[in-house]
Amino acid sequence: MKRDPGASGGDAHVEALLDAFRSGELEDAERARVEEHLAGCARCREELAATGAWSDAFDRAYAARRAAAAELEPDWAAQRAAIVARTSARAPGGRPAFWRWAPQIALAAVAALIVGIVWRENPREEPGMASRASERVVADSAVAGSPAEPAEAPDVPARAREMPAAPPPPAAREERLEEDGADDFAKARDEDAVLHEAVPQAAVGAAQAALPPLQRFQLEAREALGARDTAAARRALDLWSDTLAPRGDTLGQRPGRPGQPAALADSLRDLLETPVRADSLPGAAE
Amino acid sequence: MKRDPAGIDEERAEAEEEAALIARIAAGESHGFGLLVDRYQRRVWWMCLRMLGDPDEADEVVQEAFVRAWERLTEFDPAQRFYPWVFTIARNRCLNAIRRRRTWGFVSLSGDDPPALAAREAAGARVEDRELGGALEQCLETLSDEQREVFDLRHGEGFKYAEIAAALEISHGTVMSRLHRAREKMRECLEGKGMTP
Repeated sequence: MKRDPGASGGDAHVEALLDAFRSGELEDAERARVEEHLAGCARCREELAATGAWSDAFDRAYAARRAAAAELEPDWAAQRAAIVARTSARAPGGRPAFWRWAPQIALAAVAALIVGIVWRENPREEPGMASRASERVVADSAVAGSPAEPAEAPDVPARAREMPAAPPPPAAREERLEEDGADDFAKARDEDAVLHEAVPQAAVGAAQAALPPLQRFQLEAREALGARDTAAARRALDLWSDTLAPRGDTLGQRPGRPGQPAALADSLRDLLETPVRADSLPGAAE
Repeated sequence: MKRDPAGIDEERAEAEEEAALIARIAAGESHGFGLLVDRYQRRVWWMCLRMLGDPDEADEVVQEAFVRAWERLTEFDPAQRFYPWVFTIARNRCLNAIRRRRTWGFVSLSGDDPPALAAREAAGARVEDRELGGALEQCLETLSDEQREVFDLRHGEGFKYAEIAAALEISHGTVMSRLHRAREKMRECLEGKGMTP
């Protein structure tokens, strides 16, 4: 028998609705329409019986599949025990510990971010002895491996005492390298000279080692090129080849300055092969 | 699947009992959750086995799904049945597992491939069940993914139309038309293999 959907229209057959009709899942209006249609349509009455028989057959077939593969079933008691063990430690609706503390963690992170931004921005806005002294105290404490003593530097701002673990001079220098004029090699070198005067070399080295690879590479490359230090150039080039070049030289790039780290790497190679002139360094023309 | 009026009444009573149980669990009777696990873990596991084809992976997903259901129990709408809800959670996890497989390749936790599972099913069945189950398996292959999904839920899981619509996030009318076409194709296929209801 051809089976047309017939789910709409007063004269249409109602085959598509028969399964739902059997299971009592039709709305009242639809059910009434099907009943009315069945009363006058032998074909659909026949189809209703077939729908029931096939539904039962489908259900039996699925049941047969389950019975045949019963050996694959796990130990249900053990499965239940495992689930209950994982849920009984907390109330329903409760999240694991991390999620319970997530709002507090997020707030703390935001607060730390704000403090960090303020702390990074202000040293440049406060020229003078206080700022410089705070950098010196922090750097000295980093070298000595002990926290700064507030009593020894009464004019140090509170934020400098609270954050001794991150020596600000190298960070400030790196930030300047990343901002406008980042590729202005001569300017960066002059600033380096001022900062080197104020900060012990060991503190600079430790902070430099903690920088992200791209920033560390840029810093080391410029230092190597500035000093024409072939050993340092080789180290920077190794960092470039091992870590940055495989990533496609995409980190830290900005519109209009594609390939700046790659240009630095080229300059390092030039330095290792031939003496490099200061005016050939990347960014010197800008 | 209960289709007679007495069965419908029985289902309604079960739904009310279940809603009361979940309300008690949410109010603090946490041991009641074990009853829900007892009641539905087997069905969830079979659904996962059908999707994943790996019994051990199905075990994992079932545990994850019930733990997730517990974590979200306060969001549960007591007007709905629990099984379609936990089913949806488990199904999403199965789909994630399948996506991971597509990304990383299939690694069976039990050491069986899906075809091996089908062979074990067939080997353990009685002759008439094997015929019926085998024919079902072959004819299911003639359905589109969308038709097979609604057909599995209706006849493999015993879902109501509204539950299928909610689980798959499609309209009631779409469920009805997809299921009608799937049933037509299955009947034609099974009749073609000499099967009668």
